[in-house]
This record gives sequence, C-alpha cells and structure tokens, in this order.
Amino acid sequence: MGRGAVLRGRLTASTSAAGVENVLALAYGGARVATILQMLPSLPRGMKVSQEPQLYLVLWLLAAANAAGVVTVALVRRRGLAPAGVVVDVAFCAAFLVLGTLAVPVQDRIGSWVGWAPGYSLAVVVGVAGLRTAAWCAAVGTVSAAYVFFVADAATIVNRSTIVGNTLTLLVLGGVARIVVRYIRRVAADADEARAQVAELARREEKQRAQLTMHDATTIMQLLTDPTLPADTRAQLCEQAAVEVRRMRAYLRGGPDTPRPPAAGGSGDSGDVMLRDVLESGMSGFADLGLEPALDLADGVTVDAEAGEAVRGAVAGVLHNVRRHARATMVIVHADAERDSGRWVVTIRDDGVGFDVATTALGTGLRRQVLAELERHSLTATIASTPGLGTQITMEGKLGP
Amino acid sequence: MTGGLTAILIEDATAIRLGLPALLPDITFAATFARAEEALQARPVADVVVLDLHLANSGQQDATQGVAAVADLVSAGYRVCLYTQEERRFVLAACLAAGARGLVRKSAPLPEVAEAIAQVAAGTVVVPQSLIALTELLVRRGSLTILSPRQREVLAGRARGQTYTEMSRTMHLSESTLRGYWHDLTAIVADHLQQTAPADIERCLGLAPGDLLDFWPARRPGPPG
Repeated sequence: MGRGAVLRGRLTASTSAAGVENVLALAYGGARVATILQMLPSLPRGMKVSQEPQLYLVLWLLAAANAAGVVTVALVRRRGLAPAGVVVDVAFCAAFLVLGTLAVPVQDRIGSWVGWAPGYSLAVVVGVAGLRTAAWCAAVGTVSAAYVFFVADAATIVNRSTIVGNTLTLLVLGGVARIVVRYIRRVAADADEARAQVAELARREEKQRAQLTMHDATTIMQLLTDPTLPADTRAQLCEQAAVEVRRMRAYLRGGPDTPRPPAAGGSGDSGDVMLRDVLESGMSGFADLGLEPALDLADGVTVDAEAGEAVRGAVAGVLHNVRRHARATMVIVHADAERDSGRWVVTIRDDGVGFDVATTALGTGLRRQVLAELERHSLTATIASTPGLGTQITMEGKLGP
Repeated sequence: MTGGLTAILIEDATAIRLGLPALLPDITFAATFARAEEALQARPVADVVVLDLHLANSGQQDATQGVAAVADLVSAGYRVCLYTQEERRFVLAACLAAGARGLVRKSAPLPEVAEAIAQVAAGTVVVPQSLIALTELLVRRGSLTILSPRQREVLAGRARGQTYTEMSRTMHLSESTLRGYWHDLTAIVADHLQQTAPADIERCLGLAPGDLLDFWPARRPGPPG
C-alpha cells in the first residue's frame, strides 16, 4: 500500500465530524512535530550555554518524547487527546516552562530557540482548542502563567513589550484556533445532520415507492384468494395481476414502473401525455366495477409525463379501493377542462357504501398513492364521502398553455 | 312506485322473457313476445313496452330490431323502455332519437329496472349515465343551447354522479325542485335528439360525416301515446 493510500486511509472517516477530528489530530500532531524540528538545531547550543546542561537535555528529551507520544496517540485514535491526556500535556508544558528557568539562561528565554519552551507552549495552546470553555480557559491560563513565570527574570524595560506581545499571542492565537475548530466542527455536524436527513428522506422515498409498487399488487392477490370471486372479476384481476408483475419486475430492475401512455402529438412538449390516455390506462382492468367513463370534455388536455404517471396510479389506486371496500354498482370517471379557471378536473365517483372522512383513517392507497403522489407533482386531490352515499375523489391540475 | 302498472315485454331470450315477469312482481306483464312484429299485430294495451334492442337470432333472423323496432312501437303509440346490454352511446342516443323514452341495462339491479320501467310508464325520460355524459358534451359544444343555467348545473352534477341530496346542499334547492329540473331536462334532451339532424350531432361531437347514419333512425317519431 502506497503512502497516498495510507494517507487516504487515515483521512477516511465514516462521518464528517469524525473526519474533522481526524484532520485536526493530524494538524495538531504536525504542529508538535514541527515544534520539535524547530527545537532541534538549538539543542547543542542550549546544552553548551545552559547552567544545568543535564537538566536541559532531560527537559528537551521529555518534551520531544511527549510530542512524539501526542502525535502517536493522535494517529492511533484519529482524534485529539482525551481530557486526561490534555491535562498531562498541559502539565508537562507548564513544568517545562517552570523547570526551564533552572536550565535556560535568562538572556536566551526571549527570542531564541535555546529557550524552546515558549514555542513549545504555543503548539500546546493551539492543541487544546477543542476543549470546553472552562477547561480551555484553565489550560490556556496555566500555560500563559507558566510562560510569564519563565520570562519574568528576563523582563527589562526594553523587552517588556515583547513579553506582553508573546503572552497575547498565546491567548489570541489559542482563541482564534478555538473559534476555527469550533466552526469546523459545527460545519461537520451540520453536514452529518444534512447527510442523515438525506439518507432518511431517501429511505422514506424508497419505502414509499415500494409501498406504491406493492399496494395494488397485494390488493389484487388478496382478492384473487377469494374463492367466491365472480368469474368476470377474476378475469379482470388476472389481467391486472399480469400488469402488476411487470411493474414489480421493473421496480426490482430499477427501471420505470410501467409503459407510459403515448406522448401527446402536435406541437406540445414531447414529454407530455394526453390526460384521456392516462385515465383510460388507469381504468384498464376495472370493467367489472361498472365503470362509466365521461372523458370527452378533457379531449386535447395534456399533462407532464411524470404527473400523468401519478394520475394513472391514483386512478388505479382509487379503483382498487372501490373494488375492495365500496360495494359499488357504478363508478363514474368524469374529466373536464375548465377553460375559465385554467384547470382540468377529474372526478371519480362511486355509489358504494362510503365512509366518514372525519373519523376513518385513510389507507395507504388513498393516502400515499393518491394524495401524496399527486401533491408531489403539484396536483391537488380531495376526498369527499358520506356513509351510504358513496365516495368522490377529485383531482385537479393546471391546464397547459 | 309501480302499483297498477301494465307492461309488455319483447325479448328474444326465452329465459328472460319468462323470468323477468316473475322477478318484477309489482309490474303486470300483459303479454310477452319474442318479436316486435308479434306485439304490433296483437296490440295489447299497456303503459309501457319493455324492449330488448337485439331481437334477431338464428331462429328469427328477419326480426325487426334496434331503432327500427323502437320507431315502429312508438308509431303505434307505445312508450318504449329499452332493456339492453348495448353500451355504445351513439346507438343509445339513436334509440332516444327514434322515440324511446328510457334505457335500462340488463346488468342493473332489479329495483333499478323496475324503477326505470315505472318512470317511463309515467312519462318520464330515463337517460342512462353514458347518455348523460353525451348530453353534457352536446351542451358544452353548443348543440343543445336551450337549457337554463340551473338545468346546466343539474346536468353537470348528474354527469359527475352527484346525488340529488348532494346537489341540494351545494345549490341550496330542494331535492324535489332538482328532480323537476332533471325531468324537464331529459325531455328536452329526448326532443333535441329527435329533432336534430344526425349531421349536426356528428359535427358537434367531432365525428366524420356519415358516422351516425348506420345508427340513426330514418323516420321521426310521432308524439308519445
């Protein structure tokens, strides 16, 4: 496996939030490694000028080991230090600054990498950016105080402003790092939330599509199991079952559900279909219900092919519902083009038993296949029913130009 | 309301000819015939003739049937109610044009059949759902222009299958008033079909010239008896 693949593997994360933590850990580890590299050239001179060369070397090695440990932990965990690790890291940093006063000559504590602890502390302050506010204040405060202690003996009128500036650098840079880290984490959290919402929507969409695909088929199968079914109704159902088999196969293949009605001719959009064809396709196989189609008034009305498929499915869904529940002797499917209001209107009316719309929960067929599917295509559907007086479904859409 | 009603049944299917009178006990069938010619020869007195549209079969290939039978019976002074499985609406419209006053399907429930026969006997025109839609088309395309706005509303409601109860709620009129509108409307429709030339109806419905010639009656009916 090449380095690029390793790096990609390191950066790969299951979520954006985890990815951000991964990248922050790498950046943090990189900063620590860079600090050690910056400290390295001054090591010989530091040992030479230190009043306690052995202590200087021990502190230097401990700092390098600690940095190496932090980098290792970051790479393994793919995120920054745990709170306990941060406490240890900050404690080490403060110790290096405090004990550094014993090993680093006063004149090398400002503006020299012989006094490496301030540079080291800057990397530590940046690394605690992800802590909670109170913990962050405590960590940055501790490091800043230790820095002030480190440089206190070196303070003169000339370099006092430098000390103040360096202290502010710790505080401001730490604060900026904190803002950036929090912002990136928020963006990552938002991205994860959006991704989760998209996944949920896709899951619901797929579930709904499956329900729509299977609803009619289950209705047909349920009716076919009835041994008392009249022969003509059984023949109609067998014809519809063949259509549903094709639809379900198409669904399993991921293709379009059904062959659409032919595109409308003339100068209209080639993606449009004739409303009359759509309705006749939806009514196919329901002759046993006593269908009374009255579609002439909608002659010439076209609808978008996608909307047409929704209308076809809605008509079939309504008629399946009539067959299962209505006990109707006649179903009137009426279509009209109301030029004055610029709308086409389709009503499906049965003379069956009806139901109380206010107290009866709608089934999947009416709720999903009719109301939701039509609404998804900017069409409206209303259901009116009275017990004993039948049911009327009204579908409406805008007339094309 | 079928009390005291006398009917004649003309039907070539023996089972129906013998069975329907038994199934409709409130109607007195004065006579039943297999051919319209036999009924016209016997001329029994009846409030209504219940007529099957298709009477020719292998046993009586020359039997008068369809609009010709309707026209003959209407000319003889009978009110004719068709009892048929015919669904082609232009054929049904042609029968109204030939003077039939009502149409009821053989697949309809018996109470509906009895009601339709009684209404025709009482002088009401009984229009099947498919012809209601055709009527709405004639109105919307300017062939039938003499309907009042209220009658047009009632027609639109019936074309969509609305009940009188529902129309009463939305139009704020009593059901009896609405039935009155419908009664007048159906009479107007029947008269219109009888008076209008088939070419005009063809033009209105977007049919080719001559499309209705095979269906439409050549003779115009006289006033109903």
